[in-house]
Amino acid sequence: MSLWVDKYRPTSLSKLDYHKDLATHLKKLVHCGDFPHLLVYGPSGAGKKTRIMCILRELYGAGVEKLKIEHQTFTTPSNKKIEMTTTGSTYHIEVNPSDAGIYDRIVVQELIKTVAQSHQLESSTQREFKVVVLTEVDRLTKDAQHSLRRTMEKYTTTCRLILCCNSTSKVIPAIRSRCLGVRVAAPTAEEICQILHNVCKKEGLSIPAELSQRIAEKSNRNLRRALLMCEACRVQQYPFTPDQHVQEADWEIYLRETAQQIVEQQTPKRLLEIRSRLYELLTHCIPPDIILKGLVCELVTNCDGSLKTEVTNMAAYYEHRIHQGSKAVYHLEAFVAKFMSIYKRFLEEGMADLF
Amino acid sequence: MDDWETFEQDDFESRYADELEMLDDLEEEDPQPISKRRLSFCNDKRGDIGVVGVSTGHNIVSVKFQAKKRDCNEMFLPLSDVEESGCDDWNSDSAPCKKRARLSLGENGKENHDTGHQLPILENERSPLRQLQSKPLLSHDSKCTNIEGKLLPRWEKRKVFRRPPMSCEAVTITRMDGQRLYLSVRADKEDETSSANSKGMNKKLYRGGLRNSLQLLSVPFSVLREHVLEERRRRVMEESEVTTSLNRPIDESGIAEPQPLMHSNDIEVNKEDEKLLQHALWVEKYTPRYFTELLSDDAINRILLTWLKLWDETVFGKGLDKKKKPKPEQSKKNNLTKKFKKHWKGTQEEADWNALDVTGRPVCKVALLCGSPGLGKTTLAHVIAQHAGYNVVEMNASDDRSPEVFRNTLEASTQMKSVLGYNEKPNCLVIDEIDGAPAPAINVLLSVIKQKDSDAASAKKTKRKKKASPLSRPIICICNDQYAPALRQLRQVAFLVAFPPTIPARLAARLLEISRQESINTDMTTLTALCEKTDSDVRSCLNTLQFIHKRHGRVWLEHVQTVDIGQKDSHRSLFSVWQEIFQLPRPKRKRFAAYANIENQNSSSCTRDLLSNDLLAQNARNVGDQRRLSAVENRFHNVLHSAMSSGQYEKVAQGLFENYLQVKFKDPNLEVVVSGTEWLEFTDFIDQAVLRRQSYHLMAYNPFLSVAFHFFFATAQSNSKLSYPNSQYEAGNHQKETKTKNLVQGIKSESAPHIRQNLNLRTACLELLPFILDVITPTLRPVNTQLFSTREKQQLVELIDTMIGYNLTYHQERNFEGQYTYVLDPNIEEAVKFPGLPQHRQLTYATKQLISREIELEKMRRAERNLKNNGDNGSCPGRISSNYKNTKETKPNNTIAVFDTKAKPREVKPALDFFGRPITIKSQTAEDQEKSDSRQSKSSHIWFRFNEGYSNAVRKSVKVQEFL
Repeated sequence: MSLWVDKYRPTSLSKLDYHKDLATHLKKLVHCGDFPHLLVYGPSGAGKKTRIMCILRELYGAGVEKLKIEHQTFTTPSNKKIEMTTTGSTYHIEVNPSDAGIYDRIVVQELIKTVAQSHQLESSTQREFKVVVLTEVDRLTKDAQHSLRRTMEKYTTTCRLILCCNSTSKVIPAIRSRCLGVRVAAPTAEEICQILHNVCKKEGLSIPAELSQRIAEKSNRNLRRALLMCEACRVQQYPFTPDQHVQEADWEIYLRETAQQIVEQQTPKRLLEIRSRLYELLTHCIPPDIILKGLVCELVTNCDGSLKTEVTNMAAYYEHRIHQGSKAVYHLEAFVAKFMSIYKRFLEEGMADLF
Repeated sequence: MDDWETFEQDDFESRYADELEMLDDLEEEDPQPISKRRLSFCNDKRGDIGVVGVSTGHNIVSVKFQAKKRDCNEMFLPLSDVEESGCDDWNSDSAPCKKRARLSLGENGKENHDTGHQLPILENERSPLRQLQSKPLLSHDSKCTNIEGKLLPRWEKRKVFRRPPMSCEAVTITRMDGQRLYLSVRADKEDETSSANSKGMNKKLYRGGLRNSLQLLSVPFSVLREHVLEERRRRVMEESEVTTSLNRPIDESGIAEPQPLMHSNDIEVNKEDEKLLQHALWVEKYTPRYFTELLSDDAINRILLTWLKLWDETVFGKGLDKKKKPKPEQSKKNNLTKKFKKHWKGTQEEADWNALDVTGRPVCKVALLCGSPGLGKTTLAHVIAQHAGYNVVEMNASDDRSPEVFRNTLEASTQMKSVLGYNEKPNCLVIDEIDGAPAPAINVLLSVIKQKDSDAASAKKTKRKKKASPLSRPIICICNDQYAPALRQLRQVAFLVAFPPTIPARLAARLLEISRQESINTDMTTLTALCEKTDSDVRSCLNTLQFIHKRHGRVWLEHVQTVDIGQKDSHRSLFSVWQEIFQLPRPKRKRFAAYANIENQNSSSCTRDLLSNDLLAQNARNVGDQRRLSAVENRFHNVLHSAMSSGQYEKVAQGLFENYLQVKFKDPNLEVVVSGTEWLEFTDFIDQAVLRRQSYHLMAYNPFLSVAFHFFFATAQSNSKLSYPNSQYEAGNHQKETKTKNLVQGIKSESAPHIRQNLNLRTACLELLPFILDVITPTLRPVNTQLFSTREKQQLVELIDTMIGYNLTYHQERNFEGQYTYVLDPNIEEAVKFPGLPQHRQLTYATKQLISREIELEKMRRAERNLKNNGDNGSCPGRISSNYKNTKETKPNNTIAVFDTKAKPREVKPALDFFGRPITIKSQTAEDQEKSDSRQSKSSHIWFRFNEGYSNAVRKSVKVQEFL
């Protein structure tokens, strides 16, 4: 409750700080009486979850905030027991099916069935449906997604789904077409600044505009990160100064250093060092696509115009392969090796031009 | 066959008896006066049949030929006698008569219908003959007609007769009005002349059949069959001759008697024998049967024999008389003294395995032969056991080897002896392929060996009894891999005989000998190449040799090289595979370079494709000219084979990934590295496809990674510092990763629901944890909390709140130097920290201690509040607290108080100056709680007073009742 992120999280649609149009739309949606399945998507830290909770509150009132944790057990056909933890109120249940790994299909099916088969007790005063919130839908297996589409239609009288994901590209079209897509874009830097100011004001602090601006930039338009950064700054040094050091996440620094090492030297030996650094990142549960993205962002700054497109193109290629394959480190190393090769050739050509 | 034949004949007779009868009657009715006259001189027993086929109206002729006919009759009559008397000699003696009979066959008119069936059988066996005898006249009669027809050529021109023509054969035709006509058939003189030889006989038969329109087949069935039988017999005779000639050199006893008239069954048997010999695998055929024939290393053979001879005292000592006993002893001594002293003198082993224990048995009860397949281990065991006078009992992987069965067999073979039968020898148990046996079974064997040791020791005095010394028979175990885990214990007690590979020259010499016996066209070079190809695997050599011989008829170098079999599918260790991949082969002898060409021309289109790759071509060009290119292709195959033989593709790939950058190779632009990484990616995709979609056929492409890496990164110098991938990367990293995951999971599972719902692994690792670490390290003045400003107090409260919310706390630990430190639990720092980056700000020990205690207190307070709320039926449910699940919430109020005092000393120990302060803080930070606390403790049955008294600070009033 005490982290600012949690503390100042808006709880109703009317209190949302940005995307006000979206908020009014959602409000209308709730009140028009024909609530569809929702597919909420947008980048991390944009406020998807916040909006989902706001919608639920708008639907059912304050009762949804009385959360409880339940442990459910599902049995696979192969008699394997899967322990799933769900959070929910009397009106809704939230689960992250990707926790079940390859058995997510069973979780999705069983969960929705059990929820949907019981009707609301007082349907006169309440909505006649419950809500199942599924997070990280983009990490669901294709199997689970396909099993979802029939269930969605079948239990539509007693159950609504709110799906939450970062990108719709990994959600099958069948599901996308069954849901109302709600895009929650990342807040702009100005909006973040504004929110930081508001929060600080509530905390009884005053934050210089420059600092908030810098935090907003460093946060990469991620509101959660911005707030955490801000709080970290506050803990480090209270009377804020405009040129205060804004602490970044360690992995970002590490990643940047890795990119610099790649640019510095292009030898197999260096590649070996890079590999151990990549391993280090991976073991800290930094997703490989984030690693690749971080590397590319840093590497591209060191490249010339024509090389930039080549590197970006290459990065896209390798990111695709990361998703296709299973051993991320192979693909990351392949990317680094390829970049080294291209970059070295580029440098040598540059040298040749000089002389 | 014969039975069937007779049956058929009889059957035919009985079946068509009515028709025959009718036919006869029909013809009898035909008004033919002359025929009656003829009957008279025909001297027939069955006169009514005699009518048939004899033409009328030529009385003179008939009379004229009367004498001749008699001759005929006279000539034919003895025939039956001959047949009756000596049917054994029938074939040889009656040949001319047979021909005569057959000759007549085709030329008979209607009655051929009858006789045609019976005449051929004449030649066959006795039973048809009997039939013939029952109707001798039928045939005789036809002969008469026959002869008459032949001798009356002038009637040939007439075609249609009203009566059956006498001069020639006729076909009966019945007209619409019922009149019967006879069409004459022109006799073919050529046929008759050519009928003497057997070839013409066929034609004749055929023609004769054609003329006989009454038959369904153009040739009567019986004739055909007879012909087939004849043919078969001829073949059998030929074969039997071949067999006997073959048998003569093979059969040592030399009792191969030529059998001119062999019964068909005998022939069959012989044929099977011959087949067996022809189709037997040479491996079986040329298995060494005597000690001197063994191919394996002489020293090994003798050592094993010596060991086996050590058993003689136990095994033969009692059972056999003095006559046999000294002999093995002597041989043993001979072996030891003469042959082996020089090999084994001074070595430890000699003392070990040569010694006999107290019971007179060798120290090692079991011999363990180990070596790669095809060295002749099993053969050696068998030969030696037989040589030493044992009866071999073999148990191998094909038998059931559950512990019970194992024990039974073990006991049966070591304690019993076959009483019946010719081999009244003691048993020697040969346990083949023991490395595949289940561990329990091997334990049974071990227990038998060991338990009997102790038994033997105890039963030393009663040694006279034979059953008292339990393991009294030698056991020879055979395995491929002596380091198999199941054999670990057995290895310690067994007499270990490791087989060195067979010497190629010796093997080749043996192969040459065999090929000479089999009369194969080959030479020594080929055989040596074969030996090298199969890694001196005797079995594989022989099989390959036989295969090539069967296919090509001769065995030349090119055959050996092009054939795909014969390569041993042996297991290679991972390190040797990596070594081979990263190391250029040393230049080999010329022979290999020569036949590498032949091999690769037809087998390596894929190599071409690969070599067309620029890099590889370049590599090849660098290496040398066209001849060297073939060496490259050879390398391709070598590496591919070794990669395949290791089998563990994933491990191999990991090892390659691990090591390839450490190999020193020339690659200025890193292009080779890029290609290498592409290959790695490729294998990743294959693995993915195999695992996700079960496309196992794609696994075939896995070993090519090794080949590619070989051509990319192989260097001349050896890379001794190849490292195993498991230790460093995969396992270690996986462990770390799961640790991080568990950490996040730990935070998640214990945190409050409203926090939990916004927490997942990705956001936690990327965004939350790195910053939370900063957030929970505030600058707190190292002073008493009472001296904190309200702001600072507020900060502390928030900090505590946050930490509880995320289930964080400080935990006291003792580090290596024995100092106490507080560490975060769960240790976020570990999940967030990266090597080489500046350390995060650390709190002082005192601050951590303070925070830790505060968290503890706050948790208690919350639990208490929960409890109270529950007691008040949740009148004012806080958003979190009402649902906050804590294990402590079930604890009653008073026990918490006790818990508090227990918790304190732990914190107090390191720094005493903080002692006592918690109470003041408690009263200050949460006064209302304190009040309720004190109020409750007053009403409680348990109370404590701080620092009062020494032992019973906690008191409780107990009534006597409770003790009763």
